[in-house]
Amino acid sequence: MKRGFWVKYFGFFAVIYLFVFGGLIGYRQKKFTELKLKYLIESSNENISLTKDPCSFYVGGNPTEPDKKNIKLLFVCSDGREARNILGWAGIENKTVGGVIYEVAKVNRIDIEVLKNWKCDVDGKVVESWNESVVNDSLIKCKL
Amino acid sequence: MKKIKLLIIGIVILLGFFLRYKNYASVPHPGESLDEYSTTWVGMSLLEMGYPVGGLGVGGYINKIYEYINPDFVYQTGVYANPIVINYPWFDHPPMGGIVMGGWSLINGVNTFANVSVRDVRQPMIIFGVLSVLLVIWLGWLMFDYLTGVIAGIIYTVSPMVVVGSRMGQIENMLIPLFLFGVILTMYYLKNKDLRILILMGVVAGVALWFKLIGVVVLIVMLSLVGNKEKKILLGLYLPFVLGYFIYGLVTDFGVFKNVFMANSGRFYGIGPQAVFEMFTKFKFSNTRGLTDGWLVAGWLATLVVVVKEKQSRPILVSVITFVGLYLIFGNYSYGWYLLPLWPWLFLGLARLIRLGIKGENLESLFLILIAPLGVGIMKFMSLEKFQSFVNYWRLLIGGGLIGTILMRNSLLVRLLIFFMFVTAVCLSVDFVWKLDVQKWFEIS
Repeated sequence: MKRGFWVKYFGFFAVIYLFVFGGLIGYRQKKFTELKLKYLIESSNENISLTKDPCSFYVGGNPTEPDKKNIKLLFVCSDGREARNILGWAGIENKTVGGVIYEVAKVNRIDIEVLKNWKCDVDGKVVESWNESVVNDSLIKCKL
Repeated sequence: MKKIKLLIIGIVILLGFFLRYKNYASVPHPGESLDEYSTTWVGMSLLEMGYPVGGLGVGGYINKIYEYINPDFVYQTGVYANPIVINYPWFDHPPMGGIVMGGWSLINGVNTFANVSVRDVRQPMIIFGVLSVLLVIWLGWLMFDYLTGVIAGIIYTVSPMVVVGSRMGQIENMLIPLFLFGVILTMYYLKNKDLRILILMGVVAGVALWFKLIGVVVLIVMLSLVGNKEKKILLGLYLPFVLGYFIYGLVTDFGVFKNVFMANSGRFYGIGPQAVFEMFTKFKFSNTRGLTDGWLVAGWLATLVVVVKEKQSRPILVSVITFVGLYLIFGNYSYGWYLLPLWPWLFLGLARLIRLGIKGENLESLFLILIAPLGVGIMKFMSLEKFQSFVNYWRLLIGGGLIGTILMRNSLLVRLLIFFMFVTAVCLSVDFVWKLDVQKWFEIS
């Protein structure tokens, strides 16, 4: 292989990389925002339509990662059906009653407006406001 | 004659497409491998924001978010329970696989991580799977003859493990065509010594690295097959791709890139005796689900016979040894998709042994080897209880067949028996894959 070939070959890549990676830096500066990142990660699955029935789905299983801490949210519906949700503690961003309800509603595609009139208790203690904080291993029980 | 040959190849490819397409979005069950989503997220975020964001990173990351992202309703189907750890910038693997999968999802209108669906993610995989069938046939034809290529293509088309595995959004499925094409180019280069082919070889090997680091297998196999002079040229051609990967890390976040690179070398290693055993027998989809495949056992045994017997099969030997070696070095968990690029080589070996059988050679070993796909196929076709009604015929086939192959060797009867075994095993595989729906999938343990 002649020297001229290598000059051309590496020169070709130098130009391509300058264009691609230079473009990538510029593109990122223009497009990347924390808001956009949050939107990508935190949006709910829109392939499934919103439900007004909190007992139609539940988050099952037994979360063990990153630790064995979890929180339970039980919906008791008016017709006697129940939906027992178990979420890993680390997955709850806002560690309040409302934060847990919001997370479960997001995952199960429940219309959060439906839940506004529901009464909840945490480990048997009645909750006055959704802003009340919760600790791990609690059981939140909500019913209409 | 040429038209008939091409028509047969076309039929095999069509069969490959339909087997892969049927139930592709439900088997394997969505969520059994979260890699399918994570790789797509990396590509989506890179294309949308110029920043790679992915899940389940190996370690070395500073930015970690635990989040409930629910694509395909994985949390409601019971296959997954933990919040998903999101890392950024994500560097577990080079970005090309993500760009393909994420790009395809974006084209299909997916705009958030939760909206990603295997229905979109797996579509390009079917194309890569069918392309791989074509390349297996091409390679078999090039290395040996037309019939070997077609037989290898048929086995690769119908093997249940390969069909189901090739639907998955795993980077390995994109690596297979590059691996096969790289060796095809090498074969052409060795024949023609055309420098343009050598340059293309370097580019194909380099592109493979951009999909996954284990893509280095393409380069190593090429280096093992060419002469010393070409080795240096290939390494020179490969260098810009290695530099490109590091520049990608440099312009994104070199600190994290370096950390992840180091963490990759110290990641969990789970290739113990169980994993090695599974490499010979089954495709592990999750901790509770695996698919036993008789073609795999037959492929290993036949390849052992063929590589010892035939000099032409050197590319098979080199590819198998190199890939297994790299698997043992890179290996972490023993999931079947890590081994996907290995199966075409074993099926080429098996196809060659069947081809030799048609010529009247190695009939005893071929007979014994074909018992594996036939037996496993029968077991999947009917229950063990039902099979008891046919057990006399089975014993007669095995005993009589074996004695027959030893005593009558080249006779037409023996060749017909082996042909019948092969065709029956193929039909049983087609039947199994065609009927494999969600319900049947959950019956597999």
